[in-house]
Amino acid sequence: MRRTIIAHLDLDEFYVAVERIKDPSLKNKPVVVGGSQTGRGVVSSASYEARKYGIHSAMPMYQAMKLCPHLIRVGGKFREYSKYSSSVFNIVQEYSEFVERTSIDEGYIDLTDSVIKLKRTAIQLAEEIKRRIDKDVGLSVSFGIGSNKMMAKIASKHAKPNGILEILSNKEESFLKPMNVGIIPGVGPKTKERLNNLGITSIGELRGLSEKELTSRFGIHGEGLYKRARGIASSKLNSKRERKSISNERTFNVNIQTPAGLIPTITRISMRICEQMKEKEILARSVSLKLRYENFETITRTKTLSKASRNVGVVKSLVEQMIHYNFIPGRSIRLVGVRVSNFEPENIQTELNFMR
Amino acid sequence: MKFSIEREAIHKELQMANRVVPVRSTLPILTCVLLNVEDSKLRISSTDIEVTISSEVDVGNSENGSVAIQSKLLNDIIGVLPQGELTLSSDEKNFVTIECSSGSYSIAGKSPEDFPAVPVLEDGETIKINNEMMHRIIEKTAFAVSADMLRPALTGVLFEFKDDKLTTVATDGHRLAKLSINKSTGIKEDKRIIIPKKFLSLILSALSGSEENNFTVTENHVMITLGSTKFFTRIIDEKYPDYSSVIPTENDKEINVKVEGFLSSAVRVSIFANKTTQQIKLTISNNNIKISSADPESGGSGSEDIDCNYSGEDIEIGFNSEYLKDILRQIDTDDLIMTLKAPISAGLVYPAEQAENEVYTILLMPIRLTEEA
Repeated sequence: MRRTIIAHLDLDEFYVAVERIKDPSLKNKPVVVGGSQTGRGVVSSASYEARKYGIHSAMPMYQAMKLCPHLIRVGGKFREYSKYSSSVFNIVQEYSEFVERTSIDEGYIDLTDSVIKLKRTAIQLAEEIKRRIDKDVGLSVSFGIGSNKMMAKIASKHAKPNGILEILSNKEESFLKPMNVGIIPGVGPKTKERLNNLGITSIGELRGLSEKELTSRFGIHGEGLYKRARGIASSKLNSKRERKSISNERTFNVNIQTPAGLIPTITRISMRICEQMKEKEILARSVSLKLRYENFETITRTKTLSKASRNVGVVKSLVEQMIHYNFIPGRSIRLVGVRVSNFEPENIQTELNFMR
Repeated sequence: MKFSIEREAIHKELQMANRVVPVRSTLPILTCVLLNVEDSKLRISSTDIEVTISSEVDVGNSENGSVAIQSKLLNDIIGVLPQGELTLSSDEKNFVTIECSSGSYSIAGKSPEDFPAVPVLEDGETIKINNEMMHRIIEKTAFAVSADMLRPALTGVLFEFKDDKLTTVATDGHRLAKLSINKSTGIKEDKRIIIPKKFLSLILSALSGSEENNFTVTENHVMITLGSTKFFTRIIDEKYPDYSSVIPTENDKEINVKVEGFLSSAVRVSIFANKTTQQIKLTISNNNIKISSADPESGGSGSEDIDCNYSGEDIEIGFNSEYLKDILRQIDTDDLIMTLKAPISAGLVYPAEQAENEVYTILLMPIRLTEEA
């Protein structure tokens, strides 16, 4: 039987790297993408220089600024990032027809057939793809190679930045053994805490538990934990990974006091979302509103359309209605977000001009 | 309140009244009909707030007064009473008694004061419209009305009175039907009003004969009087899109084809169209239309060739077969003319010969052809 080979690709400090292509003076400096200068919002991506200060993505911007006062913040040109990401994956697709793009800067590549067809080892292929991405796009990437998605992903984490690491199938168990259980996909902070409470911190220790013990403590997740601790995981790629939703949100510099004050932002966000739907040739049936009040209380509300749409006016008017019903006088809004979901393929029926 | 009437006579009116009564409503009184007797005349009213029907019949043995009664209940009992005269009365507690040859029945009615007032139209302009013409307008346009509540303007038919002439238009953005009547309406002022489809469907079912009906327009309402029944509707208070700008004037490919053959081919071939897209393809070349469909999901396909009169360059165009069939069914001449320009621009369909004093045009937006058909 042929050995399955999965590679995990992870672009290094992706947003920052794109910003550095556009403005080379940002090189070797602590840079973050996201948030706003006034210290609101969160970090989307941090350069390695910034990470030295303890800054990481999803950290509130004010905290990041406190940790590194000379931090350089650049705005999120997300459409630009998406273009760079597409260029990278276009290159990847030349090497395998089985590619699963899991996010803007990450994805899996099934190299099982490619090594035979292209008569090269997995490492050689990864090196070549890496060189192409560097030369053609100007971005640095890390590769992890393993017998399944989990091993590949763990490997790429270790290869970072700018490296390639292959975990040979007979070395998987010994490679995993000393690792922290937190590295296993699906083990979040909660599960990790519960495992730690049982005195388990490493994967080696986790293997000490029987499948029965794990299922009795963790239910159906127990079985997965048992397998993953032994390096057994899925290698099936979801090549046509479909997006379930598109969303966009904004944290305000100054809290907004009235529904009318939210409208310009709602309009901008709705336009951007509808543009993205147009690119993907899809229509949405559900529109959701997210509101975060000044005390961080957060609500989401969803409305469903009778007919799928990507009309900015339709999306906007539904969001406005929901704002109307959910705005509490005397309260103020810190963050507003819009999400569309429940997608349908684009209607191939053409419409008269006034419908657009 | 008290009156006597032949069962047949009141039953007919109650059935009509019941057609606007909402099945359920946030205002429970709307599920009632209002009966009001004044000077030997019974007035029966029902409303869903948007549309109101009010009809009048002569009654005997009458005492003035009014009461509101559950429409469905009243219809249920009157519908099964034996032929002959019945007497209906109510007391000051709105307790209703129906007496007839088969027995007597009691219903707890409701206070007439709670029932919404029938609209009083002031400052309106009234014209006469022939019933047959009204029938034709509704039949030829209403099928293209949109059901999308997010575009309220498109949920009704536009009645555009301009220079004394009437043009009616309906569209859902995918197709558009326009009927222009080249005859004096007698209206003094130019007007653009949008009449809800629900109201027009009601009128269509009530129209008969070739008499004239009174068509009254005020700022907010339209009232059509048919015999002793008045039908009221609120006008849709929205701006109708500029329909004339979307009707193409440069469709240079003109096809003349027999309607019956075209329709029956479309009916057969569309059975094999994809159920979601309903896509059907027309391949038009020298005096021939190839009508084809294919559904990769089910694996089925169909294809027919029909004769036509066409000598322009070959064109391939896709349509939603349901829309195409709807349109072909509207054409009541033997032949039709279809004009096209390009595979993704609007097609137009006309009867080969327009009826006297009218111009009927239907527009259909194509489907972008995908590989499968």
